[in-house]
Amino acid sequence: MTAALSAAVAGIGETEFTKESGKSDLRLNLEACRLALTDAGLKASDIDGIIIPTVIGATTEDLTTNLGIEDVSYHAAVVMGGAGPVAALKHAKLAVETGRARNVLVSYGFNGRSGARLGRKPPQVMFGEAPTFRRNYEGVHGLLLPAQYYALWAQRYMFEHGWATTEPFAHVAVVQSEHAVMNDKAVGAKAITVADHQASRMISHPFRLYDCSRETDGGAAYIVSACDPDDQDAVVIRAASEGHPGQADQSTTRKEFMRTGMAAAGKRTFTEAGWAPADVDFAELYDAFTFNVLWQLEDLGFCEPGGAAQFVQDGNTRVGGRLPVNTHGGLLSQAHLWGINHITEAVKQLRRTAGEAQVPGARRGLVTGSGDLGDAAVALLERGK
Amino acid sequence: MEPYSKPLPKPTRIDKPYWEGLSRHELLVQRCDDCRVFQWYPREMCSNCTSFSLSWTPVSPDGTLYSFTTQHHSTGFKFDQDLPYTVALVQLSDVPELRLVGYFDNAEADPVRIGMPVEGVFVNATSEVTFLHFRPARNDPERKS
Repeated sequence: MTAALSAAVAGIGETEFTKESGKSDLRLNLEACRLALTDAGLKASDIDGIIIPTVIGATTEDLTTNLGIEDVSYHAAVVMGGAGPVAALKHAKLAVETGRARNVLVSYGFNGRSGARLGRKPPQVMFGEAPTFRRNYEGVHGLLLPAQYYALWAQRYMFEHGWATTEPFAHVAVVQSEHAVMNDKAVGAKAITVADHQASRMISHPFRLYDCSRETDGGAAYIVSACDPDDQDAVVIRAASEGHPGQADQSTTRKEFMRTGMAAAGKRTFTEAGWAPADVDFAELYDAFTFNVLWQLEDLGFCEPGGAAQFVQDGNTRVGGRLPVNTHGGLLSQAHLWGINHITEAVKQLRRTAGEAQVPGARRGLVTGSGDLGDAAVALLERGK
Repeated sequence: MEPYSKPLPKPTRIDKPYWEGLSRHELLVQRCDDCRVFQWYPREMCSNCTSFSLSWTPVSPDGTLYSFTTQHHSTGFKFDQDLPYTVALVQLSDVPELRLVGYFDNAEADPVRIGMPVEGVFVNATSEVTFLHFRPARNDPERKS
């Protein structure tokens, strides 16, 4: 029996993360792709697979035309919102492991701050071109922005667990702000305190400003390739899966309001790898809002239901703690790049090039993506064999 | 009266009876003729048994508050004139398995709390469109105002 191919993240690239790039979305993609190619030691013509991770940003045609790629043998586009970049990792892994492609490129680039900032102009993503159910039964009542949808979940969670304050959210924000200060891509990051969080202005109750992620202009890309089984430095994609909620399209009406696809995705991924949560050295969790970190710590089995708040407050998610979480500052404090920056950060951690926030001896990392109000993807990455 | 400037629905072939019901100040939801299960929001088929036989069934618009969020930041829509305003997620009394989103009127009258009884209010937005809003129930024993 021949050994199955293993897929590894062979290259990563990140543009500058700014408030106003002055560049097109496509340019951000192309810069990130070029950096990822250089990092992987590949030429553009070596790319024979492309996965488009989100509905915004560059298309396969944009990338092949500009990069001068004459043909690809494998292409797909993922429509899972912020779960896309991690779901794309799963697609790329499968394409490489089955020999359908040798080098798969995944790119994201978007002016998320200067171009499409929510609340600045009517949000097309959530409402303008939204499906009928979102417009006719939610949007017309003023339920329009992601912060509001997640606030409904957070509010219910707080009720079910008997919380009197939002301080547990503050602890998430504080930890990640401290990580961002250690990260050279998080330009202008500053460490905040619980009091800063509690004094920050209300956005969508119970979410305050520091519960919300940092809208950013920027791009990042990664390349997945078959890896040399003897390469001890390879960042191998050990497992990657997705999960979806019941009644997937509209979050508010689901039979089980608090069930997204995350728990199922996590279970599938851990089973595929043969690992348990305790085997993971760090986790990069999709954090559009502070609450999402607590929710996922429980859904993924790192904490008992209702236990995540204490887990974070006790310092476990800090670099140096039991399970460092969002070591780059995450979407909250580094950059909201639809979570592709969680993947690049995980790769840096496993390469031991994560700078000040390096988790000592990092060998196994977990990355999540979450989007479209409940779709989820989880990947487990491992250094070497 | 000023013309209504907030987002309006685009009724579809499927949900037209729902909007017509609201115009008569009646809440209609789909119920499957075969398995008798209710569903919200309106769909092509019964999501419980794949039947295409669905009947529009009147139900009470009253319920309990399941969750809510109060919006303080601009949404980019005319709702901004109401800031802060509250959106309610309501579990229907008649059909507790269904939850509806609605604008929450009189949110300032009482502390908004999950589990509080709410009642439906039919609000005529334009000559053609009526919305179902919610407000604190008059019979709430814990109501202060």
